[in-house]
Amino acid sequence: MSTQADEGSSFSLLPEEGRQHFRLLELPPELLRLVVSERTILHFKSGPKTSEAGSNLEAVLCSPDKTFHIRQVNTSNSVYICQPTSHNDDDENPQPGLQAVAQSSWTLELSEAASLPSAAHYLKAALPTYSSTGTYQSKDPPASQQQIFDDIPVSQAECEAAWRDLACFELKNEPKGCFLPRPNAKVQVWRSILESATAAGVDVSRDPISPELIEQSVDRNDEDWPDELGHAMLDGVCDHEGMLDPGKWVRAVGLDLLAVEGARGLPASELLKKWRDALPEQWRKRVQVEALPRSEYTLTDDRKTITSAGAESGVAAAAAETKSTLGAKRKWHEKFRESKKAAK
Amino acid sequence: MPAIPLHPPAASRTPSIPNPLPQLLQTPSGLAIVEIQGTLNSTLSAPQMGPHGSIPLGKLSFPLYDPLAAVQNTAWQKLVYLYVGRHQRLTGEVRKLGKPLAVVRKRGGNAGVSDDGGEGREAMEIVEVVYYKVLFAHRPEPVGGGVEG
Repeated sequence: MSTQADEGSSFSLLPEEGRQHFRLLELPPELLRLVVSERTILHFKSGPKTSEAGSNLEAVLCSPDKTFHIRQVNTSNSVYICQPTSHNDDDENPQPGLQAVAQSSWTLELSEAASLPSAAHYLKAALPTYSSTGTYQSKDPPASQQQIFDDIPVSQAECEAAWRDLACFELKNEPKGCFLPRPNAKVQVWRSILESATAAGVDVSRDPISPELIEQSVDRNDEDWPDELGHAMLDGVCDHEGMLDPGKWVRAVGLDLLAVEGARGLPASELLKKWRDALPEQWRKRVQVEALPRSEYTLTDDRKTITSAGAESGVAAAAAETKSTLGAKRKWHEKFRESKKAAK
Repeated sequence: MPAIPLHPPAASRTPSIPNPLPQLLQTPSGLAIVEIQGTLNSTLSAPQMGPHGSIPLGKLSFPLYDPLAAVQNTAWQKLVYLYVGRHQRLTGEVRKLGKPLAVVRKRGGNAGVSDDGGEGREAMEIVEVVYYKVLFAHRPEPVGGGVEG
């Protein structure tokens, strides 16, 4: 007759010294698919602590193009991670048993980190700048692009997109390193590119047009801005097929002009005029305030005065970004927003 | 600081030891999760080590499980027993996890060579993805001492 003692398989526990160290990590459907079906390598990243971010920025888990914030959730339950063992009490009749080889009192939960500071915010904080006077800020020691990305708690693809949008560039020769061009440098380059392209008779209304064509036409005379910057700027205004996108180009020039001229506000009409002047003739009809992203400017005085929303300032830009991601439910996100308001 | 890679489970992981659990709870590596509300205190007066230093906790049983029954028969999941010592029994059930859990550990150890340059950079790996757990959420109840062999 079977008894309780006979029923079931033995369940034992490894003593502390023998236990393994496992962590339990919840997988949302998207990561499950990447891990199980596509065998993608994910990455844990943590970022430098900045005062703008408020409290410590904890680790994130990144897929190639998405960032997930990690939250540690404790339980008072005993959660055992077990595996089959061939050893049990009864050596005469060894049956496979189950053995707890680890215990975990907490689980890592993931949430998409949409409202965290963006990669652009981190790049602006991390990169030394290059300005129109030809001055490079220094960063000692110089970091490579990948080292900088590794330090940013955002996925690789998001870092690459922000790098392109900001027209960051890397120099292999002195001064080595990665740089963020200041808007005044970019405005100088836009004007230079325009002059050269016009002089060379490059027809930008020809569709499509490649960055290489423009680069070939650029004759920089005495200007000493680096090739890499021009390349980065043209790269940033390409479409998915690598051809120059007039809409992106027009917007980029407008944003850079606004950043240079608009810190304390200027007449909108004046900005629009400078903007047109900095563009090839065929594209000037695209110039209008509405071509700029709404978050980048404010219009006052019956829409006659336009002011930059603080593209230069990392704090303001991050605040604008967090404001645009309302709806975050978690308390720590609210704490983050409040501390930013206090910082302003 | 460098990003720490988290490797997916090895494509070929097979348990070397037969798995006593019902098929549904079996994973390629054999790892499974058992959760007990509260802590499991040893009722043994002195820790009586089993072979190889393990501490026996009791017996895990799935009384309604029939390996030959159709897979759609899930009633067995509602009743799991964990006999602790000789006089106590916990009652639990099989639960599907809301989100699957990756069991993660540091990769390597001795074999610290990594794909990128062999500097022995810290890396983590997913040993298994677990979709179910056995959960014991009730207080233990006394059971009459069975006939011990």
